[in-house]
Amino acid sequence: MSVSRFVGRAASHGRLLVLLVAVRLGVPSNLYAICGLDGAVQEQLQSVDDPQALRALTLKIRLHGTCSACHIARYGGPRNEFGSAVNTLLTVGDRENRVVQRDAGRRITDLLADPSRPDSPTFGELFRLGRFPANSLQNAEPPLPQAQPRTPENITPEQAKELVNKIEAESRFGILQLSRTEELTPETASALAEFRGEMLILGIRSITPETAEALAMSQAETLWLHSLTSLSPDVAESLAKLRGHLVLTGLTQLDSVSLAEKLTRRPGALSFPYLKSLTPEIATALAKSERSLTLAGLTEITPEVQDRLAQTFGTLSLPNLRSLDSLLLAQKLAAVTVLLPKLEKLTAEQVQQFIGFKGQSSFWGGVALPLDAITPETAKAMTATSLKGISLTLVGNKLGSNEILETLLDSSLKITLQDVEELSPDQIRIAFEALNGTSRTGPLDVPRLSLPSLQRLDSAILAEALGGSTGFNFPGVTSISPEAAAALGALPEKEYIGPLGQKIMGPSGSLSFPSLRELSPEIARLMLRKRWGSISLPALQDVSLETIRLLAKQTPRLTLGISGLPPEFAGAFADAPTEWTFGNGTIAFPYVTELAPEAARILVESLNLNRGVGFIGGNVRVSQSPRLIFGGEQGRTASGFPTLSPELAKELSKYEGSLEIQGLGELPDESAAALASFPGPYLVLSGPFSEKLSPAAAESLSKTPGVLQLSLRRLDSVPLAQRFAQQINWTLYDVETVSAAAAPVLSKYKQFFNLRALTVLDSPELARRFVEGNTTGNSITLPALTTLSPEAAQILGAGSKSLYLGLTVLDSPETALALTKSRSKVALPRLRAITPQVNVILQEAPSIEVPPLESLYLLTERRLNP
Amino acid sequence: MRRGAAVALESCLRRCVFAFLIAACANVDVTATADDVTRKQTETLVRQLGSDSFRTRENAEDELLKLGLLSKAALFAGMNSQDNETALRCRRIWSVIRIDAGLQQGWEQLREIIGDAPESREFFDQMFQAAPEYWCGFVESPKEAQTLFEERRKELQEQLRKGKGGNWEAGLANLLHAGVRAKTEAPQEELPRVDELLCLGRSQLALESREPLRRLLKEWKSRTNADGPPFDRLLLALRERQPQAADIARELLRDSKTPAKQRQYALLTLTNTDNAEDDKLIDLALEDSSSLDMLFSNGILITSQLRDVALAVKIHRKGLNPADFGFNSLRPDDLTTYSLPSLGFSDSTARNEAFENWSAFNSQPQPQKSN
Repeated sequence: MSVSRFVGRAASHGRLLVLLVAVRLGVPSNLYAICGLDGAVQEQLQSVDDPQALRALTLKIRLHGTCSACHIARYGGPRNEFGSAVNTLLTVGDRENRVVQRDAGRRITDLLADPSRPDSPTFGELFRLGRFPANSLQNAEPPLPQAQPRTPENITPEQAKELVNKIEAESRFGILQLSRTEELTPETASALAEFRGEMLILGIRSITPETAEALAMSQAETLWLHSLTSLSPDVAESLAKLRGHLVLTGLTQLDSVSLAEKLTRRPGALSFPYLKSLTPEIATALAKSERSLTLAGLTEITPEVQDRLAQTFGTLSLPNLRSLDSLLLAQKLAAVTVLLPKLEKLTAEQVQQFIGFKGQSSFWGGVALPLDAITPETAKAMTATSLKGISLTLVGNKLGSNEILETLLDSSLKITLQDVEELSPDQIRIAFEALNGTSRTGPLDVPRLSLPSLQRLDSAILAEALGGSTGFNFPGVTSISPEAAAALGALPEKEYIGPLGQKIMGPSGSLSFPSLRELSPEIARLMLRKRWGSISLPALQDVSLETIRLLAKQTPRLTLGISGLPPEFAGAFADAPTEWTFGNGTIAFPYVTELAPEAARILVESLNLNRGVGFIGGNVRVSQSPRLIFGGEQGRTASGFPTLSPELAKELSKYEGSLEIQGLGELPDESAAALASFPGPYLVLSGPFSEKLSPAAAESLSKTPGVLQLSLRRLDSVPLAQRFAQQINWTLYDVETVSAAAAPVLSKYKQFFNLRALTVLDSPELARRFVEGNTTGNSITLPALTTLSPEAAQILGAGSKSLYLGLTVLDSPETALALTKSRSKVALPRLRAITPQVNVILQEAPSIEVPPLESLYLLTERRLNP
Repeated sequence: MRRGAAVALESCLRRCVFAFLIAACANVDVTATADDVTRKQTETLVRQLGSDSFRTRENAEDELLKLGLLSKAALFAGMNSQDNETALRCRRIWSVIRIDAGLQQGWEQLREIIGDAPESREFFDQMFQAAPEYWCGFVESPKEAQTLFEERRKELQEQLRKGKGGNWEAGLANLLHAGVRAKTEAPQEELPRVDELLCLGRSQLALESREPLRRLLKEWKSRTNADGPPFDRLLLALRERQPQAADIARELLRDSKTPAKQRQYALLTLTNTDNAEDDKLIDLALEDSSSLDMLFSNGILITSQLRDVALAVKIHRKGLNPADFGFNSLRPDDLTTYSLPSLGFSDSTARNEAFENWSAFNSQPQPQKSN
């Protein structure tokens, strides 16, 4: 996806604003992909059962963001092997369609991480080992492990026919996937070729000319052969004749020009992560790709090939290129994101081209180059740019000379020394002098110097310099020296204006050590001589009671990675600050998956002490007790209590502050009943439990006096709907379907009505609520909608609001006719199939924005109801 | 520093502080006295500052400048003159005199501590430029050194908090100098500690690169090493790996009122001393079961008591590894040899076993030391 295109579209739908506001509010935005397409990764996380593996993965996400699971560089641009696979199944249009994203996540599980290796593990197996499926600049995984031998799932022609019939019966745009099938006979291939759905995905690792001939007759819109690494000329010629689109992401070798041309004709980004070489002719063919072209497998290419690739129509990425001789290619590669971290040599001229490209100073821009190749001359060339604030990532751990560092830090570049694990005393001094007095203003402010791989924070000078520059975020640090801790603890607090207008000193800075596993009392004592705005220690495993007491006392917002909370430790949070002047307090235990009722009782009693629930405006509940969070990183992952026992629920339900239980596996009825009396301002529950919430549990939850937030996809409880109708609608953010009984009740909701994830709208009441009540802007935006009943369409069409609907199939003439009645704009940008009669209706309704009608698939006729 | 450069710097210093001092002069108390002759001479010269003759005025100004601090009383009186010319010239002359005097007296004081190498003189000039009112104050209306020390401390903290510019190393040096003066005036008075300012990265950088600052710090430490509660001094001594840590530790252990949580630090300070008296102090703690801390490590809870720490220290002093005696959660620590909460046991059985192992070891004749 083109970043600028995404930004434009996201901005037009208000999504970008939400993301940026989330970032500003301190929601750890790196947990979510900015493109909104991380549903596939989240689905993989849900399938990881081993708590240690899940913890390792969630810590990686906290460190590097979900973006680096798919992208080679952090915020987008070219994708790695896994990202290329995800991108074959998803488009930017799916960013608000969690159903499609989850489906893609499940399908990718069985794809080989490296098809060129006979013993390659699958992406799913890698996730289950607690590692990312592919590398990025930020996250380098160890070499791929050897997979256990697996038995291929070969099928007969009859089984293939049955499968084709079954999937076609389920959907007009079905996907038939046989990723574990490593061989196909021509007969089976012929049977599969009959499939007329959206995509035929086959995991065959070799192919005969006869099978290729058979597959070339495929009726599917796209044929994806993900594990083929090379093709004979005959096979290539046959596949090039395919009617639909062809995807061959596993190729290590590509010799057929006609096949290359065929591959470029598929809309969407073109990526060959494993392709090792390229002839000038193939380069010319691939250069015709109208979208982005990523050739991550190429390391050495001839000057002629370089010149040919320089002619690429769309964006070009060669992230593993080692030598760059062509000036034309250098010009081509100077784009919003320059990704050439493996180059062995760099000239000053090339550097000036890369750094001087004007888009690079944007939030999305950036340059990644090899540190080893930087000389004093190239460093000077980098700093010559007039553009301010360009992000420069230097990959490698050899910092050539102090002069280079001095030159770079003397510029306005935002430098990341990606792999540098330590600095010499002289380099520390240079960094201090360059950074002295700089301070990071917020999460969107890129630090002037980042050292994400720094492991030992062992110098007071470094701690102060780097702390100010990075906003006290030390991603790779695993040990802290007393000198560094003392320097951090000696920094000043911040001046606040108190409730009576008086000046008071309070916490300052957000201290974050996402890789720190141990924190000794001595280091804690030194570092915590001042109060911190927040302290985040999500990897912490070893900690003493005294240290926890001190941590809790010295910050209003604390995140602790401990795996459990023994009763002996539960009372350690009693001195947590409660001054509202410093903002609302939070105590988060993202990895506590077991909690004894006794520990819960002590914790709750200690935090309830001398506080209590108050009211603003008569009914809005407020509490000075900190927000208490258990489990799952912001509710997106599976980690959390496997179940909430009634005994535990009973204790937690006495808490007077807001309570979040994320990643909850199950919620028994009795536990839900206990939570009904929870008095705090907010009760937030998320996790797999919401998929199996019983009517009784739902009814109990609906009785909680404070605001109730549930991550529900299906709203079929009338009491819950009644409840949600009376409170803020963040609760409805994930709702995909609303039952016929719940819809009229939910329709009573008075405030802004936003159900962006809604997939089915067949309730007239709900449709009327969209039309007559407050919505976001003067429009109704339902980007994930797949089903719209004629009656609901009639109500929407009769209203005055513009409509943005994600429908892919429109087979009801009644629905189409109803939409033509709209006096405002109707946009159906994702429409893919219509009936001939709908076609006629749409031809006469130019106000309805749809893709070109001739590009839509024509379905079998349906009769218009009288 | 070459003479020319010194003159230029001095001239620069004069210009920098001139405006400030002109304003400050107006409200200064006059406390000094001169003898009658000088008084009459200076008063005459001040009167001449209002003369109709330009030459007379100029000559009087030159003379007053030459007399320096002896002109102080007359100049201050002249500052209140009805004649604007006289008042203005008095202020101007006094500002020059006080800078000269401040520089001269300040340097005389400081060179005793930081030496008179060119680098030291240059450093003093920076100190003066960073706080001219501090140095000139000595010749004008001297405050109590302790008050000056407090002012310097607050100023430096303010500079840090507001992130405002300023020469940090010179400011720090002025603070230390004020502290040294305060201790000279009243050695028995304890001063607030300035460790939090000293351990900042910027202070460490200044200390690394400035020999005169290191000398000032040494002087400050030598005069304040007994200030503050012994436990605070012990922690500082441990952090700075100072040899006097052992003495402070003994002081703490001998005091029966020392809390157990402080005693544990004192015990660990004696881990590597070679003093038979220390064994007696440690042995006393072997009977003390006061609770210290708990460690939660990978799902296991370790509790520590003072006797556990004493036992680990005893074992270590024999050149042995406490882990071999049953300290299964032992973690090293840069400051205290072992991480304090790791010197504990998961239950009383494990604790008893460790003590029994120690008894058994002691019952053997002449155990072999291991590395």
